[in-house]
Amino acid sequence: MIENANQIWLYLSDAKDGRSTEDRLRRAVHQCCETKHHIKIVGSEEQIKIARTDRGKPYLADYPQIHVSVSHSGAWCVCAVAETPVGVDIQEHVRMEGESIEEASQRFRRMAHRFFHPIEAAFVDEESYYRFFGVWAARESYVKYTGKGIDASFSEFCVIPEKKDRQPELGEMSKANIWQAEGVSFWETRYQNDYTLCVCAKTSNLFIDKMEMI
Amino acid sequence: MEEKLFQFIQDVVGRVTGKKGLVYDTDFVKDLGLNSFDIMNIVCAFEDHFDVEIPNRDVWQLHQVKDVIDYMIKQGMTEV
Repeated sequence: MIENANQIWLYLSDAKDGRSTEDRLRRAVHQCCETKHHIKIVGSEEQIKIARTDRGKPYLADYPQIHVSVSHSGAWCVCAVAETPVGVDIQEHVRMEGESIEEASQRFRRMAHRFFHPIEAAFVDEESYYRFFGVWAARESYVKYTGKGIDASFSEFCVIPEKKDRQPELGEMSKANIWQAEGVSFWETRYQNDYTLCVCAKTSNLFIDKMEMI
Repeated sequence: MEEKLFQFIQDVVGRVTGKKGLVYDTDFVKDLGLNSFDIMNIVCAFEDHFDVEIPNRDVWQLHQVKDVIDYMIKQGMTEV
């Protein structure tokens, strides 16, 4: 068993190195179990079976106590391994070719009102560019945690607290935000200047270990 | 008609994601490596162009370029 049920392990890899998502998940699980000595995996890394639910959420067929999630964007792919159900999302801050930050912000505000909860859309309106990516990554991590993916109910949940004084400062550099909403915990940070990374799990004290490259 | 819609899809995907070289069988996720953010950006570009709202449940049924062409014809989104 993993020693700390609140702990999430993150494994980063080059998204363009040719490996499949399943291979990355196998590597992450094997690395976690080998180096952390928390769970014993029987057999080799290649023998770890990655299955998918009908909504596409990955899981380990032979180790139901280990939970995984995976996300890719731009140059990076990130895998999360935990003892509790987990969702992870990484999103590059991308704009259309020739689009300024101001133009992108305007477009993101429209997207927020189209796809986000009204409270989130209002939050994005105040400071659009980085907040949009923060909310987006949090929402994606949440639907990966639930395993529902983006469906008809995508606009119905809210990943930021309703009370303004408890709102996280999404998008700040060199700082991890931790907050609770929808009965789960979120951990969000900027990565390498132009990526936002967010983890969602049902723990009261979510703890992220240092990310490792795999 | 299909060729015109294909060209429109190729233009939108190229403008929004920078991805090029689409064919009718191209899978947006498996072949182009698009993620949810890219897909939603493409959906918004379609919605802006046609002034419609595409339901989320429809979006995730459209895996390949040819699925989008069929959908556009079915929904009357042919004025490109």
